[in-house]
Amino acid sequence: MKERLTLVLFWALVLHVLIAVTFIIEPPFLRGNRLAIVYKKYLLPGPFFKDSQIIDNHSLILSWKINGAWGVPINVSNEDFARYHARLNPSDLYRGRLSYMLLLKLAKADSSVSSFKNKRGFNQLKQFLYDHYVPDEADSVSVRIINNQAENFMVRTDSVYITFAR
Amino acid sequence: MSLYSRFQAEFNSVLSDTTRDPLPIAILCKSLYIFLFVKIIFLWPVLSDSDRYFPFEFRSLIHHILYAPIKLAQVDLRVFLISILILLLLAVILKVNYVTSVLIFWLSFNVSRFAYPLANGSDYVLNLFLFLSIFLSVTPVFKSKALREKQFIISNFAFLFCKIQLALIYVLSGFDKLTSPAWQSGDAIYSIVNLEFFMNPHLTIPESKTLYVVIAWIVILFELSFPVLIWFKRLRIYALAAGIIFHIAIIFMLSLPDFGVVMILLYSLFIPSRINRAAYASSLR
Repeated sequence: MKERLTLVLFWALVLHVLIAVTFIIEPPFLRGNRLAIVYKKYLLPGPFFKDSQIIDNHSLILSWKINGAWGVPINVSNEDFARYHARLNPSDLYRGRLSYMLLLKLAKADSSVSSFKNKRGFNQLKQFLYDHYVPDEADSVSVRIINNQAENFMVRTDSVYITFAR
Repeated sequence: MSLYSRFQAEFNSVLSDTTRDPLPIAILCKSLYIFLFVKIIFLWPVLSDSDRYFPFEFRSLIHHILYAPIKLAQVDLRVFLISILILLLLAVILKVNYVTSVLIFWLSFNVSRFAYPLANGSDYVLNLFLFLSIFLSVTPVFKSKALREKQFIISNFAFLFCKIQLALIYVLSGFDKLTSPAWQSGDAIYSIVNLEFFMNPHLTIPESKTLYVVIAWIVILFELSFPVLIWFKRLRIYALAAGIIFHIAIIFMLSLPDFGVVMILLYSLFIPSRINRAAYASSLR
């Protein structure tokens, strides 16, 4: 009985390694396959720093107008990240990741202002900015969404300006 | 004796060892529990915002069962988090056992889903090994000798499986980079250096294509050689040292503390029992 269990486990392990190697090599018929995605997400996490994931880099510059005067713009995406490096508290990093994810929902280099404003994520981002940055007395808000694409040893920058009433 | 027979005999002897030292398993599991404890403490101030802007939606009956703890988190986040922290503290104090292992995996999985906008590679790695840790446990032990033997066989198998899975994670990343033109040319390092929200702003890396190529190939070679070298006793210590340096560099250069720490903690899988025991004894002194 003991021998049978070890034999089953032995072949289960061999099979597992073969399946894992197949998913690592990823033949064309497996690309985009749901099973492959789930397997890689939960059983074989990675690959980390895949080239397609490291090209785009978004940031958000925010300013608002009070009594007819625009304030000094702030780099919302950079604030928490800079704070993390100043005091090494991972909570700052997580907060920065949250605002970055809100931005990521929207950011696409080829998006027009009108398409931005119609996106579901735009209202979420606006609410986030109102909750954390824009004071109640502001009457207008301006955001600049920047997309830097670092590829082929050069950086290409695109940006979208959106101004709206508070 | 054929290679297959020798390999299987070695496999049988590893799995049938009922006298193995329980300390490596305790160190692995408890270090993961402490890691999760600390991670939750740092996530705590951001979780209510995460739930507000990215609320978890229950879309099916399976969701209602699998993610039941998230319902509690949505009603009272503090009770949810305090309950997990208490469980983790208990698990660190108690022997590694099936009940706490299952609960911790389930709750950790729920935390990751609840906070999915904040999740990164470390969460997937952590949850995978917390899941495998369920099978590492041998407490409570069966009274019947036959069942107890099977319990140890499964535990030993899970320990070996953890080692293989850690090695495969490196193979996957290394192979992906090896076949990527951007990594081969060093362009990927240029992209990473320009990632404003990863690169440490206190560091300056000189803009040099040669340097980028050298760094890219060091990463590729490390990720492909580590999962091979780690199986050789004489080379293991060097592989582990290189891995620790590699992950410390990721922690400081790429601002990914959780990912680097969880990978280093998993190296305890490969540390010989006598070193684990000495480290454990000195930590109690």
